[in-house]
Amino acid sequence: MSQAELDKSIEIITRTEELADKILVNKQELTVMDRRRQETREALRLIEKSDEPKVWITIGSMLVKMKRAQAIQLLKKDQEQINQQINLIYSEQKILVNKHRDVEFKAPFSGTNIKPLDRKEFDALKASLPML
Amino acid sequence: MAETEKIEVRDITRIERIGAHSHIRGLGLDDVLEARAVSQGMVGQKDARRAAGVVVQMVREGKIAGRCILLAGEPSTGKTAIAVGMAQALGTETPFTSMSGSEIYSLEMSKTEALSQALRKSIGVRIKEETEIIEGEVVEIQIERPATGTGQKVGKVTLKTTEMETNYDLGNKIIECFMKEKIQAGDVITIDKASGKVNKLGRSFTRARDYDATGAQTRFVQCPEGELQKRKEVVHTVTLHEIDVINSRTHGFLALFSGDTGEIKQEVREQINNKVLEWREEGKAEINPGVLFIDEVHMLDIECFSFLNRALESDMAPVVVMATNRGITRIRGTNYRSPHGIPIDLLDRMIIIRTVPYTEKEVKEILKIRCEEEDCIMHPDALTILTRIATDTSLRYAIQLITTANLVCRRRKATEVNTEDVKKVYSLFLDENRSSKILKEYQDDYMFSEITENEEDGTAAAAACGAKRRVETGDGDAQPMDH
Repeated sequence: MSQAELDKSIEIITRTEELADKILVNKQELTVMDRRRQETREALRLIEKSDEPKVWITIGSMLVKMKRAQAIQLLKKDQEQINQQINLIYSEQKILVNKHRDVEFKAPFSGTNIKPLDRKEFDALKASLPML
Repeated sequence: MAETEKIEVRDITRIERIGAHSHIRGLGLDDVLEARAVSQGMVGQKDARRAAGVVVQMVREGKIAGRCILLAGEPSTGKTAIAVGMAQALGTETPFTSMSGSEIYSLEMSKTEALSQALRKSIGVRIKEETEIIEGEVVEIQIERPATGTGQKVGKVTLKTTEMETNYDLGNKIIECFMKEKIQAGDVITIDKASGKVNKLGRSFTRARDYDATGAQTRFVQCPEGELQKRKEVVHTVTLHEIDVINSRTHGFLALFSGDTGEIKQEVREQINNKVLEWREEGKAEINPGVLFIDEVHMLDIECFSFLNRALESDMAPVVVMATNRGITRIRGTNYRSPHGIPIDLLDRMIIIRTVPYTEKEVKEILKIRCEEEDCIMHPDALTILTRIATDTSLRYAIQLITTANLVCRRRKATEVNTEDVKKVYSLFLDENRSSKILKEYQDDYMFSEITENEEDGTAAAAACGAKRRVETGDGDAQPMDH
């Protein structure tokens, strides 16, 4: 193979590997985010079930005792933030995967640009079309 | 998680009955759409295959609607084979409807209705379903029933994946779902967050050794990886015909009065078109036009052709591929003759692909592929004789001889078909030429014999009469012009 072809091959391989790496990192991110989401949810449930006026809550690596209402507010804000982050990662993933497929000269996976149907619309279709 | 890996589920052990075109896996074209000599089950016929490849590209891009393509050629030149190859090349995503011209003559519905339905079956609509599901392996379930016997149950379930673990408090309804599915520790389950449905995927491999004997239905799956709460997006393709049917079904007691004729009203169809276009504007759906293949298109009559003229002009029209082997014939429903039995104004809108008869080398290749497909080992000399027979009589007759020769060879407890077997089978089963020669000789001995001096009518009458046949023919299509 000539030098130009070798260079081109290396360039294509570097690009695909970069993108693939980013995709895998995002996948790990999602697991971490989901763990945080579940922990926040568990914490919220425990606080809502208990009756104490003041509860222990970890912020970072500190244990802080604060009023119940405040703690609930903090946890809820955390939940919203985590959900936003997760949505962001999902949309990023789709773009990255399509870019990766593009660099490998494959078509973007079908249905990329379709917005999902409402639950009601889809349930109506599913009820009449058993194959769905 | 949105699909980063495509999971393909394929049946490895699927027993198929071997059909006439089951050896075809695609069109056998390379990256620049040039036809390879022998590839994917297709042999020769390079120009027609290349043209078919261009059509497949056209359909894949999906921007051109309502084009009409005609595959015309002598009998046994691979027209249906090319259509099967196109279907395989398009893949399972694109709707490919295949029908024969005579299928529209049904007593249940009118011809134009049958055609409309066939046209609508070839247009797909892609929609997406998005759900959040919780997928994990059950570590433990705790259900507390109130001591009084009445009242709500409360429960707690701990789910894990390979990377994380969490627990959920369960309400009464979902506890009932759990008990209905008989979920225990070690089962891998999915819970749909929006609908609350619980689905058991199987038992985890790590718990396979718990019991010595498990039920017959027990499936073992791997413990899920990654996050517990995933977002699942599934893309479905529905055809327009299916949506039509849902919306036109008369429900309840109205059906008793109006009766289900099977015909779908035009207003319903227009409403569906508008709705699908609306979804497309909102970005909720993609239209995926496919291919409608009409074989033996000379069987359609003049009304159908006029209907097709108009239907192809709508913007929800698929690509129509037709095939015929008739020459200048009468158009059904009229007394006029026209090329291929199709009116000239429809022919004008079509692009015509011609298929030519095969050369001897190509015939040999095809017979080799069929031998492989039908699991028959043939000696090269036998193959040569078979090729001679194919060029003298017809390709189809030779293909029929393959399996019969195989059976004869197995009867003498050998594995390879040799020339003797082929000669034996050739003498046992007649082809069309020999059969009609015999008929002409012994015409007086057959019942209702009406052989006239006219050549054309002679062979047609030979097919018509024949209550008593001296020797049974192996192939059933002893007709002058068959595909």
